[in-house]
This record gives sequence, C-alpha cells and structure tokens, in this order.
Amino acid sequence: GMINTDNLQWLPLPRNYTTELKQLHFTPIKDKDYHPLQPQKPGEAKNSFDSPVKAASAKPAPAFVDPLTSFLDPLSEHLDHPLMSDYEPTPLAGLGRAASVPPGAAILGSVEEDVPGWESKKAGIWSKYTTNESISVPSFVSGVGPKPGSAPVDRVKNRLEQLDQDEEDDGEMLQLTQKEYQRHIEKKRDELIKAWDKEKRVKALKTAIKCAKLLGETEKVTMFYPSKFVLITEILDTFGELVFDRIKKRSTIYDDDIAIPLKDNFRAEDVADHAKETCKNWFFKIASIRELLPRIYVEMAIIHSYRFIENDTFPKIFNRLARMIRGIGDPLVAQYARCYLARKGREIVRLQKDFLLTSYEDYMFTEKTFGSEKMLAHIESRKLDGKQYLDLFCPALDWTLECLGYKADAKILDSVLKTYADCTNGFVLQAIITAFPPALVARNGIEFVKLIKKASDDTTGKLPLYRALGVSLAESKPKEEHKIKIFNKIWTDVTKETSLTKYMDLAEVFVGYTLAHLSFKHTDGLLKDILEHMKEEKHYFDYQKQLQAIMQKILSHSKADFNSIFSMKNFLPFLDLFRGETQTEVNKSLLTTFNKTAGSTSDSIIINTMFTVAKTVHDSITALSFDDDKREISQLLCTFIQKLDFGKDLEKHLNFYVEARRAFINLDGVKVELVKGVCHLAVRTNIIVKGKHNKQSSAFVRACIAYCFITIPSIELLFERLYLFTFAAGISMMNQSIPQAESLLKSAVQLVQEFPKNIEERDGKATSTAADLVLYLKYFLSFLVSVPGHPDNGPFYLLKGFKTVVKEYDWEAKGTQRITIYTSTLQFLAALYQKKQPYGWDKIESNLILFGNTISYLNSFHEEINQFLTLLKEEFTRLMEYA
Amino acid sequence: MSLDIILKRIDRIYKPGDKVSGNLVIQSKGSFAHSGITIQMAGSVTLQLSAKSVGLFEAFYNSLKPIQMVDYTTTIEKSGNIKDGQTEIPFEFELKGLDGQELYETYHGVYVNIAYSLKADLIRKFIGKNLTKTVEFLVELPNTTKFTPSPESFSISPEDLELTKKVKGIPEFELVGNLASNRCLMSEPFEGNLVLKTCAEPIKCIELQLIRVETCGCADGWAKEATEIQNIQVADGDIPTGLEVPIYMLFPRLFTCPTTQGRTFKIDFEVNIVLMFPDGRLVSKKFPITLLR
Amino acid sequence: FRVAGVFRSTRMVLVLVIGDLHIPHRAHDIPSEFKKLLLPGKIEQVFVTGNLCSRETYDYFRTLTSEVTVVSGEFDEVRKYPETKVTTIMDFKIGLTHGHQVVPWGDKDALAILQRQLDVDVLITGHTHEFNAYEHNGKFFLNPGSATGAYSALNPEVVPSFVLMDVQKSSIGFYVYHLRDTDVKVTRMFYRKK
Repeated sequence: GMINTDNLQWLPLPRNYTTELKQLHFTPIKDKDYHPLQPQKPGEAKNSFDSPVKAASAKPAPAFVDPLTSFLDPLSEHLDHPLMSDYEPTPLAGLGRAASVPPGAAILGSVEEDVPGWESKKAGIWSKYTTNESISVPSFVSGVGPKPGSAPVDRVKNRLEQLDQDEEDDGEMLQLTQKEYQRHIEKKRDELIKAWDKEKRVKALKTAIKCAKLLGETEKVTMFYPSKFVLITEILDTFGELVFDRIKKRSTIYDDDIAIPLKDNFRAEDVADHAKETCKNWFFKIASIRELLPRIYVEMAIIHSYRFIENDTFPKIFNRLARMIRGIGDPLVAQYARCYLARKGREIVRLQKDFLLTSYEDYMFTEKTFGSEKMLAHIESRKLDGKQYLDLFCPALDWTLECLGYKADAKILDSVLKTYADCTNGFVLQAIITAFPPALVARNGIEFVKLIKKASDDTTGKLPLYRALGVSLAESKPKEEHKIKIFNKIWTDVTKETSLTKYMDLAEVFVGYTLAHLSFKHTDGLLKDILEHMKEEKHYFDYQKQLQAIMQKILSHSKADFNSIFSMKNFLPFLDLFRGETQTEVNKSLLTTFNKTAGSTSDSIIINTMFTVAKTVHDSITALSFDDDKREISQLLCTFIQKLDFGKDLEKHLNFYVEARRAFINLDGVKVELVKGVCHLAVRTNIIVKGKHNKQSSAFVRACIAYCFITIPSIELLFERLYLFTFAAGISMMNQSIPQAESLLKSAVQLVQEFPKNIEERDGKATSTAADLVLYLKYFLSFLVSVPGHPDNGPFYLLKGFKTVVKEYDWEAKGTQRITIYTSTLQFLAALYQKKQPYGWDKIESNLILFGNTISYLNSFHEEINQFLTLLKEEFTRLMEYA
Repeated sequence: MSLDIILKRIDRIYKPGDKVSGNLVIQSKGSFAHSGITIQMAGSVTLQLSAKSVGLFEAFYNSLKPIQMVDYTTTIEKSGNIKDGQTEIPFEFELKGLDGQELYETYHGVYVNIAYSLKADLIRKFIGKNLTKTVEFLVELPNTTKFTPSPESFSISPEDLELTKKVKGIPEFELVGNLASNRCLMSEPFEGNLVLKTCAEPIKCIELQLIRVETCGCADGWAKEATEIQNIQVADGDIPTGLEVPIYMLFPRLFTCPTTQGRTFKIDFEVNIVLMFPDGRLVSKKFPITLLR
Repeated sequence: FRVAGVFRSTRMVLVLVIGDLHIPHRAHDIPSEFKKLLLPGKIEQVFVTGNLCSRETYDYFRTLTSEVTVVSGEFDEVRKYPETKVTTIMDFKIGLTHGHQVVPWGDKDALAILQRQLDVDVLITGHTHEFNAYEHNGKFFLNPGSATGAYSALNPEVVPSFVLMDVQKSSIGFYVYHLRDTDVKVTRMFYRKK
C-alpha cells in the first residue's frame, strides 16, 4: 500500500561542514624534486630529438616516472631497446636534408623573391604611357621564300638572310588605337605559340624578329613607347620560354622507355648531344640576323638557353650584350634594350652588377648629348619637350637602377654617384635614391641633399626627391653629425612649397624622420609648421587623410611614449584639426595605441587627455551605428578604463568612475566594466582596512555600492544585470553593509519577476531564458546561504519574496523549472538549518545567533520546509496532468 | 623497300685517319634476291667559274677539272637473298687520300665545292629497279700549328687616300678601332671595337661584312670572285661620338672553312667595315683575315 | 582526442586544470611565476573551470595546446561556453562544471548528485576560489582554486593556485601549484581508480 507522507516530518540531516571532508594527503615537493612543469635545467638532456645516440645510453629512468623527460616520440622509443644500443645514423638518413638548394638555383635566381619584380611595374607603365593617336603597325603578312630564278650569289645570300627577309613585304600597315594595338600584339603572341606547336619554328623566330624590330621605331607616337615595350617583350619572353622548353624536352633521356627528364638544376654536361646541337643552331641562327636591334633582343629573349651549352658563362654574355647595346643609335631604344637585359639579369644573375653599371654609365654618357643640336632636333621631331622626353626613359632607367641597387654595396653607390656628379636630371637622381638600400642612401644623406638642391627644376622638381630621400632616411640612420643638418637643409626648401599637397606629402615622411632620428622637440616644431600651413584658410578640411597619415606616423614611430607625445605643445592643436569620420578614426587609433602601452598609467595629464579622446570615440556612436562598431568601441573603452591607475587615491578613482559613467552612458559593456571596477575598489578598501572598517572607509564602501545600485539598473543586458546585483550584494556583505545587500537582492528578485521569457540573440533569434534563469536562481539560493534574515522582517524575509516570484513566474506549462528550484530550495534550507553554515562572513551574525535556537525560529523553519514540500507536491500533481 | 646509310657519328664529322663506319640498313617487305651490294666513299674538289668569267678564261679550262681526293669501293655482299624485315650490314673505311693526295676540309662555296660522300648501290637480280643511297659526311682538318692572335688597329677617315679616290662628298669623320686578331679561330667569335670619334653628319649605320674570296686557276691565269657570306650591323642609327662600340660576329657554320691553298684553287676571307650615311653614301674598309680551325 | 591518443594510450596525458581567473576585472593576468612554468608543448589538455572573462586569456591557453575545454562561469558571456562538459582520458571519465549553480556552493552532497548525474570518475568544479580535493564514494572531486588569486564575494584575499593532472592508464597524479608571495609551492598525490 501507499505510505501516507502527510504525517511525516521532513528534517534536515545534521552536518559538520568543517570536519566531514577527509582532505587527502598531499606531499610537498621540494625544489629539487620533479614535477611536470619543472623548468628545464641547463645541461640536462632535453629530449630524444637532439641526440638519439645519447638517449640509448641514458641512465635508467628514476623510480618516480618523469612524465616530461620520458616523453619520447614513438620513433625514438625503440632506441631504448638493448639491441639498438649500437645505433648509428646510417649515411642514408641524412640524404633527405642534404638535398637543400640546387646548385643552379643561385644562377637562375629561383631562390627568394624579396623585392617586387617587373610584373608589378607593368600596369603602371601601361596606364601612364598612353596615346589617343592611332599606332601604325605592319600587318605581319607571313614572309615568302627565296625568290625563284636568282643567281647563285643571291641564293646564298638568301639562305643566310632569309631571317631578315620580308622587311619589304610587310604589306599593308594597320592603324590601331592603343586598345586595338594591345589586342593585335596579344594575337601575335597566340600565333607565335600556334606556329610553334605546329613545328613551324622558323616562322616563330621570324615573328620574334619582327616584334623586336617594332621596338626600333620611336618616331610615331613616342609617348606610347614604354607601353609598346611592355607588350612586345611579353612576346619575346614567350618565345624564349618556348625555345628553352623545347631544348629541355629534347634532352629527355629514355632508359628502357622510361623518360628521365633533365632535372631543373641541370648543368651543361647533363644535356644530350643532339639537344646541345639544336641549341647551338638557335644561337648561330640568331647571330646571323643582319639588324642589330632584333639580333640583340632575340638573343636576350633566349638567353636562358645558354645553360644547355656551357656552364658559368652568363657573366661574360651579359657584359657583352650590355656593350653591344651601345651600337643602338636611338637613346630611347637603347635604354629599353638595357632594361630588357636587366630584366633577364634579374632572373639569371641577380647579384652581378658590372653589366648594370655599364648600362647606367652608357645611359649617362648618352644623356650628355641630349643638349646637342642634333638631339634637340630629334626630340622636337617627336613633338616632345625636354622634360617629356626624359620622362619617357624613367621606367627603363628605374628598373635598371633598381637591379643595380639590389643588395648593392657602398662601392657601387660611390661609383654611381661619381658618374652622376655633374648631372642635374632629377629623374635619374630619384631612381638612384629609390634603388639603393636605405642604409647606403642614408649614410650619404648629406651628399644627396646637395645633389637635390642642384637638380634641375625641369625634371621632377625637388620635393619628390626629398620625399624619396626621406623614405630612406626614415628607415635608416644618417651619419650622427648630419642628422639635424639634413633636416634643416631640406625643410627650408619644403616650407617654401606653395602646393599644399606636395607639402603634406613631405610632412608625413619627415615626421617619421624626426621621430626616428631627432627628438620630440623637433617633431613638435614640425607639427607647428604643419599647423601654420593647415590653419590658413582652414585648409585642414581638405587634408584630413594626409593629416591622419601624419598621426599614424606619430603613433607608430613614437613607441607609444605618451608622456613624450603629450609633451609636444602642438600635439593637441594638431588633434583638433580632425573632423567628422577622420576625427573618430584618429581618436580610435590614439586610444588603441594607448591601450597597447605596457603597464598602467597614473599621469593625470595623460589620463585627462586620453579621457577626452575616449569621450570623442564614445560620442561617435549614433542610433545608426552597427553592433560590431559598438562592440569594438566598448572593448576599446573598457581596456582604457582598466589601464588607468589612481594609486592609493581610491576616492579619486571612484570620482573617475562617476565621470566615466556620465561620459560613456551609451555603452552597456562599459557600464558593466565600471560596476566591476567600483566593486574592485570596495574590495581593495576591505583589504586595506583588513576587514575592520572605520567611519571613513565604511562611508567610501557604501558610496561604491550606491554607485553600483544606481548604475546596474541602466544596463540593458538582463543576465549581466542579475549577476551584478548579486555580486554587488556580496561585496556589500563583505563590507558589513547588510541593508544595501538586501536592497540589491530585492532588485534582483524584482528583475526575475519581470524577466522576459525570451531574449533576442545577436542573430535575431529569440531564445528561451528559462534554463539560464534557473541557473541564476540556484546561484541566488547559494548566495542566500550567507545572508542572514532581517531583524524586523524575519529570518525568511528574502526567501518569501523569492518563493512568490518563482511560484508566480510564467514558466513553460510543461516545464520542470519549479521542481528544480523547489528542490534546490530544500537543499538551501538544509544548509541554513545547520549550527554552522558552510560559508559566510565572520563579522556578520548568522540566523542562529540572530534569532536564537528558539522554538518559534525552529517552527518557522519547519513551516518553510513544509511549504516548499507542499509546493513540490502541487507542482508534481500539476505536471501529472500532462503525463 | 628502302636503303639507308647510318653513320656511327651523329655529327658526321671526321678527320683524316679516322674510321668512317656505320651500317647499311635495308627495310624490306618480303624477301628478295640481289646480284650484289657495293658501297663507295668518294671526295672531290669541284671548281666552277662565274657566268662573267666563262669565256674570258677558257684558256685554262683544263686547270678547272675536278680533283679527286678519295675514291674507294667495296662489295659488302655478293649476290644473295635479303630476308623479310630489317637487315643491317656494317661497313668501315679509313679516311685517307688517294696516293698521297692532300685532303681538304668540306666547303660549300659558290665557285669552289669540297665534298665527301658515301654511296651505296644494291643491284636487283630480276626486273626490279636498283637501289641507291648517297649521304654526305664532313671532313675537318685538325689545326697543327699553335694559335697566336695578331691584333690590328685601324683608323678610317676621308683623308685616307684610297677612300677619297673612290668616294666623293663624304663628310668629315674619324672612325678608329681595333680587331682582336686578323688570324681567327673559326670556333671563336670575331671581336674588336670601334669608336666614331667625330662625324660632321648623322650616320645611318656601321656594318661588318664577311667576304670569301675564291680563286681558281694556275700560273697561266686565274679567276677571283668575292662574295658576301654575311653582313651584320655593328651600329644602327646615329650613335653618339666617343662611345666605344663592340664588334662581335660568329663565323657561320658550313659557309666558312679554314683559309685554304690548293694547287689550282684558293679560299680566302676578309671583313669589310662599312660606314653608311642616310642618303646611301658609304665608306668601306677591307681587312683580310686568316681563318684557322 | 581519441585520434591523438593512438600511441599515447599506454602513456600519460598532462592536463592543466585552471579557472576563476576574472581577468582583467579582479586581476591583470595569470601570475608570471605560473606563466613561466606553463610552456607550450608540455600540456596536452586544458580544462578551464570558468570565469575566464576575457578572450585574451582563452587565446593564451590556446598557445599551450589546441585542446582547450571551457565551461561557463557566472561572469562569462551568457551561453558562450557550455554549462558542463564530460571528457574521457584513458580509463577516466572526467566531468567539468563551474559550480556556481550548485546549492550550496562546494557542498559534498550536492556535488555527489552532480557526479552521479554526469556519471563521471572525476568531477572538477571551481567558483569557491579555494583549492580542494577529496575522495567521496570512490570518486574524486577537485577544485583547482583561482589561478589569479581573484577575490570572491566571500573571500577578499585568495591564494593563487592551479592543478596539473598527470592522467595515466588507471591512476592520476595530481600536482597542486600554490603561489605564496612569490614562491611557487608544489604538492602532489596519487589517485588510483577503484
């Protein structure tokens, strides 16, 4: 039969929380003893990877197993086996690693591409050197064979010269626009590949020659020449690759029908004889091309293929070709041929400098003739002025110098500067400054300044040169005695500049310079100059991006030394120049940089200034701001708040929190941070007074809790609000402020009462709050264990409120939440019933002391228990309806 | 059915005293009978006069008959049967001149031709057509003397007597330079450099012409013909004065041979440096060179 | 984890048990004395009892090992981590939960109920900021304390501590690291499965 539980009394089991747990015995470990996180001592065998042989003879493992040092990898484990004690690494073992860099790699430059290559230049050339005029180009009608019926002399000539043929039968000339020209050339490239695939090698070679010949023409649409060079050399490159691949394929050896291709780092002796013959024939054929320009270009195009014939002759070949280019009369054509040679050199002999130096010197030799009557007529006939003409050389000149400057030493720069000495062409000077390693340029800083001052204004003008120099100087140190001199000499020119755009460009670079090599005082002076330029007629409105770049420079160069940053008198006026979105971005960067500084900040000037910055960032939030932006800013502000250090002046710290709440009112995350910070202040106070409050400290703590009490309700995140109420209540208890704790707990219970059943998540979905609410209520109960009852309102004053809320809350009809909570409440009551609670505060009297071991107290206790039992029963009965 | 001669050396280059060896390869569908297979090694110098010389020099026509240097024939198979499929028959000759006859290097010129060949003949027994196959092989004579370069410098200007006689109205100029050597190894490039020191007018180009000079005949009379082998630009366009421009040329294969002196013929080479002006005026200076292997 | 355990099954697994860090609100960082010991490559698993509070702290644990298991404390973002997590290592089923929802906190009987619900051999909890380890009904209960010495509402001054478990075939070595002033004190004990 059923047991009638109605007459049974439910009684909590007596417990003694202090003695009931049998603490396990932990043995202390002395310094010398092993524990798994013991730092490695020098001299100890680290692990088996380093010395497999040693591991074999290692001492037997200590009785106490050392989990870390015995932690061998599965492969070396067997080394401990006695049979393996004679283990020696076999010669084969090292082989895998020995095959490191192929010997040919250095020559072919396939190693590292640490600088942007030619590819990155092409687009720039193509968009800069354009034309609206039509470009005439031969239609490339395929050539005809030797004319029939010719005398023997002609026949021989024909055989040798057939490559040069059809210069007369080029047929009609096409008139193309730039775009059409590009398509035309691309089509030629496809045709070349097609002809090649059909084994029509002579036709392919002829196409290559014809293309190269096109590069000899500079008279028509001269401004387009650099772009033409880009296009046509692509075809030549393709041709070169085809020839190389073909010869390489011919070198494949067959061993019992198994193809053994030539390895990538092959040497001439690895190449099959017939492949070598084929290769030599290519070079003989090309050497017999009558015209100089196609002969040089086509040889350069297939220059890689010399590898099949001979080793280590590239330096000689490059030097010869560099000198042969001198035979090209048109200076522009010659310079682009040098550029192509430099491109090939980049791929094959990137550290060889002599041929590049020759190229540079030859150009400089040629440039001296530009003022001659002959050349002036030449330039004029191309409808160009002197500056335009010089500018046409730039891409080729830049590239040649870039190759020359790559990893160059001081000797080469000296030699380059010696050749430049009397020149005033800013284009060349700019190319030199940009091409050579910043360290070399910086060391010669003062010489460069002199050369810039001397440079002709008819080319680049001085500012781009100063900028180029500044970039190198900011990166590398000039000579100590020149540091200030260089800056002053340059800035006297820059400050006179009437173009603000140019001026600002320089300002950015030299702010970097002053920060890197001079002092904040100099930077400050520079900022003053910038302010003067910008304030006039409110120019700063138009230069926000440039000003921002300067700010970035300051932030990245100053090593986030905010003391020094704020010591600059002109910094804050500078900060005032920013407007709108840029203002927000700049203040964000400033705050981000500040947040990344090590340690905390106590300097009140910095704190005040940064607070204004933070406020500006906060105020950028509008109703339209995205959640992600808000989160980012919230995080920035929290980190900022955490970084501040008010030392022992807790009052000042609290005042700061009051101000911060006012300033950052729009961000929930910040408010949570502030509450936690203020609680921390209360705890610190508690620690300082060692738990024994005086009047002053007690008032301060109460002020802290009052702050929480006011702030928490304004937090929109509901669960955060619940837990913060409880946490703040805990802090109140810790500091013996029971009434405040009760108010906070009451607020929490009230919040539960009106807690929504669903909360909208970030993704917009509504999620039930029930499970998390139950978690909180259990947490609340556990907390309540440490809170005594109210002297006037009775021992179960808060519990009663809790009971009502749980009972009346609109839980899911079929949910078991009430059962869980009622059960937990019984656990809570059982803990409360004990003589001594499992936890609490020394200074706070428990219920037992407060209300005494009186009958009325015990009765009210049993009453509570019975009420919850009844509630439980009711809840079960209610749920039965759904079963 | 086919007949082919496969030489052992891929490049087919031999020097006197070498064994010229290989295989006669016969491809046949079905077997057939033959009356013998022979193979002949032959080499000769043939001379020819240019159209303009014929008639002028009929007097010494005799001296122009071909010189047979090599002529050997062996029967490598007497009559018999060739089986179905591929048959390979090896052969070998020693390369040496007939009765002390000197051997010359292979050379294909316009008026002088020096060629060596192998010719195989297969005589069919019945109605079938005889099979013949000829292949050329190349002879190179090793250089016996030690090579010593002999540099030569030059200076060309209108003041040059020879020039002014030939050309009128040439602007003032001075072209100086040097050749690395006028004795040249054929395997090495022809090198040198030149500098246009001054020039009163723009130039069109500077070219380097390679010329062969073939001489036929004997003491009674001779015919000499100069023909251009190749012509390459050293400079293209109006180069700046004072800049040293390199001269660089490869000797074309097959069309050159060592400078050769026979009893009835001679093969010589020279280069011309030609300075051209845009309107067609030109100045040329000749440099005889000796080619050596 | 089982995939990685192919050859480890006969050996041991080092598990760092740590939690209640409350960074940066109650402490700036894990004490440098502890960080010096926690080098990458030694530890294979990290169990965090909750209240990391910052993303940076999680990222720090990820530098030690990719196997980081975290449960949610009351000050972690709601629903970012699970409430409980059960992991099997060797022969041991190990349960992990923060424990703020246990009534009353740290109670032996309440934890035993949780242990039975999860059906684990070892139950790890935090929240009290006090190291604790005991056997109860043949099961093992562990609380690593707070590694940063963060205060709790009940205790303003906490000694920083964490635990390292050396899980072997059928036994676990527990190494307890306490920071007293600037000295790291280590104690150890063994627990054998019954």
